[in-house]
Amino acid sequence: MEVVLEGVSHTYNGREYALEEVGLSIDGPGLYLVVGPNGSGKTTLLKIVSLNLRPSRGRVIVDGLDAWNTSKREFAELKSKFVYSHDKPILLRGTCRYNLTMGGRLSGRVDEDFMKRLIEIFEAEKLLERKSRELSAGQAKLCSLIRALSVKAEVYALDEPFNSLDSSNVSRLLAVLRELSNTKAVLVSTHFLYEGLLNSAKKTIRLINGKIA
Amino acid sequence: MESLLDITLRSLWISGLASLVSFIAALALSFSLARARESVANVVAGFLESLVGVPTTVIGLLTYMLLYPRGPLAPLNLLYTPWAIVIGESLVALPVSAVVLYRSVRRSLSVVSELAASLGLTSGGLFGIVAREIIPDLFTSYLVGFSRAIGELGVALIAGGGIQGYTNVLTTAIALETSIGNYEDAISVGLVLISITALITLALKTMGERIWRSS
Repeated sequence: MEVVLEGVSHTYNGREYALEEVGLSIDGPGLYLVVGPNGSGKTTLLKIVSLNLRPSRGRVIVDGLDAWNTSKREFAELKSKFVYSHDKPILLRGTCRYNLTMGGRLSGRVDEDFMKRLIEIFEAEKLLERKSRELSAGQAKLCSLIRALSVKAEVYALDEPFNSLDSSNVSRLLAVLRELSNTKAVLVSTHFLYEGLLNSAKKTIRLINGKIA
Repeated sequence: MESLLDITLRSLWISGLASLVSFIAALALSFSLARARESVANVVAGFLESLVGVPTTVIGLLTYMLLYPRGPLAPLNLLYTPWAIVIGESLVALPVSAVVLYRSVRRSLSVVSELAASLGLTSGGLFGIVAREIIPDLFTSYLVGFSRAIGELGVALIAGGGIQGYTNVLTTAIALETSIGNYEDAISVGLVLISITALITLALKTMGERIWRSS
């Protein structure tokens, strides 16, 4: 799957640009790093790439189609190939298990076996029956990441996935992302540059003040 | 005076039904508004907020005008029946129920939609999930509507007529007993009204909080 951004700019308030004239391509499976300081536009870029945000200007071309100028049906089909995981996890009221089932309920495309594997890898069995409001920041992040990664997609855009995780979970997540990137495009935004992450990256996109450096 | 139990039961079913009707309408209205453009929704929500304080006598008059022999709903023959009170009290309770629900639905729908979009869904199927997120507010919305409906006098008097054994409810009974100088009975009915409102509010609040805690 190929995603190309052409002259993409975005402003939230009509005055300042979070992204300005960005052009890049995500060409097939691999690990794509989006790095930059706070406020450089990483989240905006990931939301635009994953079709969660319509850019103020420019085009997002997915497999040759101008995504935001397609029919409703075509857009829904394109959108179903992307998953975006928020920096601050969105968990609904209920247990971690309920939140994990939300992935399937909302997307209808969950890989149950992969979800079970992720639960084992992250030793998250003990979290399953905990209420979302009782989870720590790191546990909530894990629950949200497992939910996102178990949804079948072609492109995974993960916003600051390492935030709030302890070192052992960072290592586990790195291993999972490396494995996943063999068959899928995995975009990871981060301001922590782990050596293992840099070594595995197919492409590193550096953002400064909304522009690719 | 007819039996206090009869008046109480009549009040309960009339106001219970009226607040249920207004609750369902408020739910539908809140979801529609939450999906509408924010500027439009804010104007409608502001209008609803202004309606919360409309005197119930005005709504009673409106209900009367709808149902009286030359009104648009005259063929239904509902004036001075319990159904006239149900219609009027539904109108009384609707703004307050909707105001409580709207902001909660909007906030929750925004979060759930954001989550659904992030997982690749573009539309639809979110009603049940949003409703589950706002269970305590659903209870509160019904409760405030019920409290407003059971405690109002204007509609019950103007559109219901306070007919003994037929449309006499707790508030009209208080008004009637006071007007004939029967203060002891009026006070008894008043105490029943306060007790019922407090008990039902407490019971539903407790139920809502239990559901909230268990999820």
